[in-house]
Amino acid sequence: MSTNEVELAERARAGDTAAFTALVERHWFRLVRVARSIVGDAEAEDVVQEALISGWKKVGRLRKPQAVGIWLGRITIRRCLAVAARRRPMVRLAEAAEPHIEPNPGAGVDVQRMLAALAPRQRAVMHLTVVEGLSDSEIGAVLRMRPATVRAHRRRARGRLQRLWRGGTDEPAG
Amino acid sequence: MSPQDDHMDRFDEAWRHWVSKPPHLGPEAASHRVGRAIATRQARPRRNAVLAIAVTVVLVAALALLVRTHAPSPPTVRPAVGSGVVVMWLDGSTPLYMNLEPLRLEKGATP
Repeated sequence: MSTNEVELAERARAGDTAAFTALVERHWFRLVRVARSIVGDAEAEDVVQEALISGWKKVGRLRKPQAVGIWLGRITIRRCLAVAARRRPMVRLAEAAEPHIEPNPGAGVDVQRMLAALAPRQRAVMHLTVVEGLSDSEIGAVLRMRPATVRAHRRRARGRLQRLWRGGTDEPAG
Repeated sequence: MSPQDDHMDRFDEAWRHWVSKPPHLGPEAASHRVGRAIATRQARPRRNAVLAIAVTVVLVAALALLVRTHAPSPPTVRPAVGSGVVVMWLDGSTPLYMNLEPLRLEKGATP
């Protein structure tokens, strides 16, 4: 993290809206990415905006300005989990079975459909692992859970995805 | 590498690819939108406070009017009472008479 970002975080904490929006600009892509993985593409940007607007009210209580990136990630993920919890699972695992795999990675795999088979918290853990490449302790810091819990979520998510890949059926994600 | 690992690697790759496409809203536009929403919400509490005060004043005035209208009116005909009689009005039409007399004690009795 650059010193500039710490300064922006300190100014935002003191009530400077311009500093807060500068932080939004810097972290926007990263936050939309995590929101996409948890709530899907259609709602991701709206949910991130809501999270940031409500985050502005709490920024005065930010304890570690040097960890503002983690804090923004946390408030976004929390909002995404709340949104995901309010709605029914997007797709049942049985319906999502038999994904079509193309030789070209990234083409033809319906990622969103596969992710819908996971519980929202598993999606968050998997996103931070697969996309952000964070360690278990870093994921634990973002999601406020122990590394052992992170590993348990990941193991369950992997198992579910593998069963799905093989075309098996399972209970829909909660 | 097992076929399952291979599948998972391909899925991870597809996931990274899918999730990294640019958002509809660019970072500048997003920060502008968030800034505008924050400014609107900061203005809203003041407007809400004025509205809340106005509503409170109207409610208090209405309540005062209601209490005044429904308060028991004093009896129009005052009953004639002698000395040592106290009249209490339980409501607009129900008087309660109390006679006050000095206590006459029998010899040896206690009050």
